Amino acid sequence: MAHRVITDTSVLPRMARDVARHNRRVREAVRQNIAHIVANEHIITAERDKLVRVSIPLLREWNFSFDHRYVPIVGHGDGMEKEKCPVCGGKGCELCEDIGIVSKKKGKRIRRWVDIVKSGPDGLSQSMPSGVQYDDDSLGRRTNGGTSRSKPGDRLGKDRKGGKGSGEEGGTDPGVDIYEAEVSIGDIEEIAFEQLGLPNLDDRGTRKIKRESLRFDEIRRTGPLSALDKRRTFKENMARNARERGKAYVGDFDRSDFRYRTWEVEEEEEAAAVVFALMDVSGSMDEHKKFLARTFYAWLVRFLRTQYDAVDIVFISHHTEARECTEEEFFHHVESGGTYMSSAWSEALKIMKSRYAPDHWNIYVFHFSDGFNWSNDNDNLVNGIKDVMDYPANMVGYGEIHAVEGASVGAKMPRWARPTAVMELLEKVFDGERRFVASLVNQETDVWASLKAFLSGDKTIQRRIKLDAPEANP
Amino acid sequence: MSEYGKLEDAIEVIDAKARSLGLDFFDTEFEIVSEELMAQIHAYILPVRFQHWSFGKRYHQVKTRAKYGMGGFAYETVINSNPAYSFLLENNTLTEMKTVVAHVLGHVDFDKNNSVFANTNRRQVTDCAVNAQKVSDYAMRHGEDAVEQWIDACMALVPQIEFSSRVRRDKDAWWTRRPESEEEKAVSYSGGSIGDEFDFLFEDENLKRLAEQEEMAKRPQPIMERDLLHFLMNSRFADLERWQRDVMSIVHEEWMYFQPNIRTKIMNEGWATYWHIRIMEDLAEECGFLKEDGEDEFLRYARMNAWVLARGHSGGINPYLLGYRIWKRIVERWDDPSDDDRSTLGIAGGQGMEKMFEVRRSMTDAEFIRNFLDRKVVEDLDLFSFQRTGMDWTVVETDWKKVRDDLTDTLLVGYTPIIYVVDDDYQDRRELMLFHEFSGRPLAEDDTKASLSHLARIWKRPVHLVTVTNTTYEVGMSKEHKGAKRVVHGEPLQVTYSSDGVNPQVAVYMGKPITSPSTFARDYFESKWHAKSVVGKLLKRLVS
Repeated sequence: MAHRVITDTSVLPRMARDVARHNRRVREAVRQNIAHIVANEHIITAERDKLVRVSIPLLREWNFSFDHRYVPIVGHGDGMEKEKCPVCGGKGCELCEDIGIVSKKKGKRIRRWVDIVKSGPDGLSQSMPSGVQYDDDSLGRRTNGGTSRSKPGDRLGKDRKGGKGSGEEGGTDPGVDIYEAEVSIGDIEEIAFEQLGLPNLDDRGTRKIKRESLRFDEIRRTGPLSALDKRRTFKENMARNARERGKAYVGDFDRSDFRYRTWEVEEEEEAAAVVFALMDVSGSMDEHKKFLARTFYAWLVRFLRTQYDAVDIVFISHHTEARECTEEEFFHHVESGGTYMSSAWSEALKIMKSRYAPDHWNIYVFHFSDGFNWSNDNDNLVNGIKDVMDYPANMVGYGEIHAVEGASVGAKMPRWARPTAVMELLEKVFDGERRFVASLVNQETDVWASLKAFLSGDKTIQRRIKLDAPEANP
Repeated sequence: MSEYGKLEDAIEVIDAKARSLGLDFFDTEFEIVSEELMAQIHAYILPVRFQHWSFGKRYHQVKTRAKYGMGGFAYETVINSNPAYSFLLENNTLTEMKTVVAHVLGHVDFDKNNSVFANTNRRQVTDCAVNAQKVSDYAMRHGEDAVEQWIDACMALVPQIEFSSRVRRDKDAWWTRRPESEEEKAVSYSGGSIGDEFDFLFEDENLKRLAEQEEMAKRPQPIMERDLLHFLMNSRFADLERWQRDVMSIVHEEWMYFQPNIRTKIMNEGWATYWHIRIMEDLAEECGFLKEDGEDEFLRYARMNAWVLARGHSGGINPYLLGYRIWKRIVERWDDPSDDDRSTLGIAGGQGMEKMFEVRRSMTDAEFIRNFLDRKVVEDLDLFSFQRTGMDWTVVETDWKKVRDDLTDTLLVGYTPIIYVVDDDYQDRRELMLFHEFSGRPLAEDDTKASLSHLARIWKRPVHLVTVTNTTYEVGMSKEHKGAKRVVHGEPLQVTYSSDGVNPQVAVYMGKPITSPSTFARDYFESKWHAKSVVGKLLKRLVS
């Protein structure tokens, strides 16, 4: 026979290794682009196991190629020929749903038009097999359907290049393959948090937390039958028989032979830490600035929750007055008014004194503002920070936001974006102070820089506090 | 009777019908594979390829597209070999299988008879398996990362593979050519006695010319190689280890094998579609071929065709649809020509089939579109050219001739710039000098920088690429303006990209750019020779 049909194919599935190599590259690319990815709105709000699409320039295969913006591409329009379904004439039936003439939901015409087997005036009827009745009027005849041929100037789509916070190549250009990989939020977190940790963590405070160990390493004489240790029970039984009856054998069980496995509730010690999140919500903090501050805190909270078991977070928002608020309020409330930055620090100090004794707690305070403070408050602010540091806090961080929305990546810092009075003042006062860290946020990618500046943890101490936190990089 | 038994019977019927219609194909093995395996073959293109992450990426894309229902709809895959291999999806219905078989035989006929396929390696499938083994051996010996990076670098140069062997012969200089045929020999040695033959040498004019020629021969000659990988494999300066050269030749060889398929995509798919429709419908009429157990399967068949011939999303053409329509149009025009065709092309009528087979044998996509994409097809399919204008993608051209020319242009040049190796010893420092032949389309900056860096890593010395651009650049102003910059729009400028493998750089030059490779090569070597001879003279003077 000339041709052969083979069902037992010998094609080896070899894809697994290439897929693994590819995934490794995706992770590497995420690591390199983490600053862009962290500032992405969708990722901050998404659930942990959700997959997100991130565009990754690293995974492109490079070739010498033309700048596609200058090359005309030939494409199909959907004008002129619009076929109707040979069965129902386009009114909607199973077949035309299947082939996409009519959308399944609303019976509305959608954009995928079909070219039924035969087109032209006397198309289908000629070689039509018997058995199917076709509506003669609609046999593949060209119907204008209200749409005519495409004409120059018709818009096909918009170039998304330069879109907000979408990394290097965010466009979905027709005809151009821009690669977007799917990565789960969990993976992104894992990669991001590899590089972070709480700094200056002292062994000063410990508090006891109860933890149930699941290892059955205790043997007792009483317990539930389901936890019976048969091997030990038999041994005990033989020993008792040998002792009492002079012969080692299994049998004649007594209640005293029974041994049960059980567990013990262990108490473990862990260093305790509290993080104060201070945010300026005054009128001068516009939407975008608040977005950046919240992005920072969202990642901070996420980081603390996933990496440490015993970290308290205190949220304080302030304008001229400061108040402690819930996490929900902190991230969603909108307020306005003037600014007394010192108010937040004195509020923080008040809470510390009432709840967090310095010999038990590692204390961290982060403050985000746009630096527009009323000048008569600056002295109070310096004193407030000094008080907190003398309390003593392990570290205080001050972040100042100067961004305007849409400021492009790598744009030069304009004059007004230089450190303002507050930043200059604080940097002067706390010059050389190891526990004071300042960071300037000019654009979205700086959020990641701030995270790294504030959370450049000392790894040796961090490991101790981590205990059974999942290993970040296996 | 089992399902596969039925299929085997159907194949015999289709085979006989196809032969009676004039198709001529290799024996074919039809392998029934699962969806999963199909996705893998789709990603690798051939069943077994060497290991590389990019196949993993392609696999991921195939799966994603299938997941979102975006045409991850591979009914079949055909491999150009003898015997031909074809993979069919196991959960297709018998009717779908039959249609696919007819389609596959169309492809095999095309692959066997089209002239660009004539020199392809019909045993490439097995060769690829050997290559895969070799590459994994190298990975064991030299490290997976080293081999992977090497393949990355080689693949960056793949589009520049020179398919046509004619060009290579042409580039041989006239003075190295030897008379080949007896006739040529007869011409070159004809006339007069031996004395006569050498007399001319001693005329003054000829002596002078001879001296000139001798001097010319001393000068370094432009290399003018367009196939970058071929150049690297044979270069006198390329510093490659044996395994590196071997991997490079594997990449070169495998992509060379795919060239005919790339160059005849529209024709090939159109051809196969035309024949499966013809065969299936003829058979349906003759022997109720589309009936299964008494049930009419015509609708299932029609639905499948509707998928295959669907208009693509805006952003590209559907090669099945375009090819099919053009083949149909050829038959229409040559069977029953219009008065215009009759007078201008001299078509007598009734030659449709004859013309089809002639075109199938001799053409590639570019010629096919250039010759046969006519007004009717363009308008029926609502073809247009589109482009980015400002921030929008808009239709720029619907006139059928312009659309045809744009498409021909794309198919001829493809997406691959023509790049010449001009000199392998730039500034006597063993650096590479390349020249891109500019034809109105500037190179993409990022891509060029990255590819050039790949090339530099292979070459292990800096490489330079001279091209022309008309994109927007910031140009530094003279010193009086204290280094201020101004933006230059659109005018063509000479650009040089350089890379040492790590830091790619661009330099822009003002003034009239050179676009012809021969002019560039002449000027380049003139100045190189000049510099050399001046230095030489100086040295001589110093010594004396």
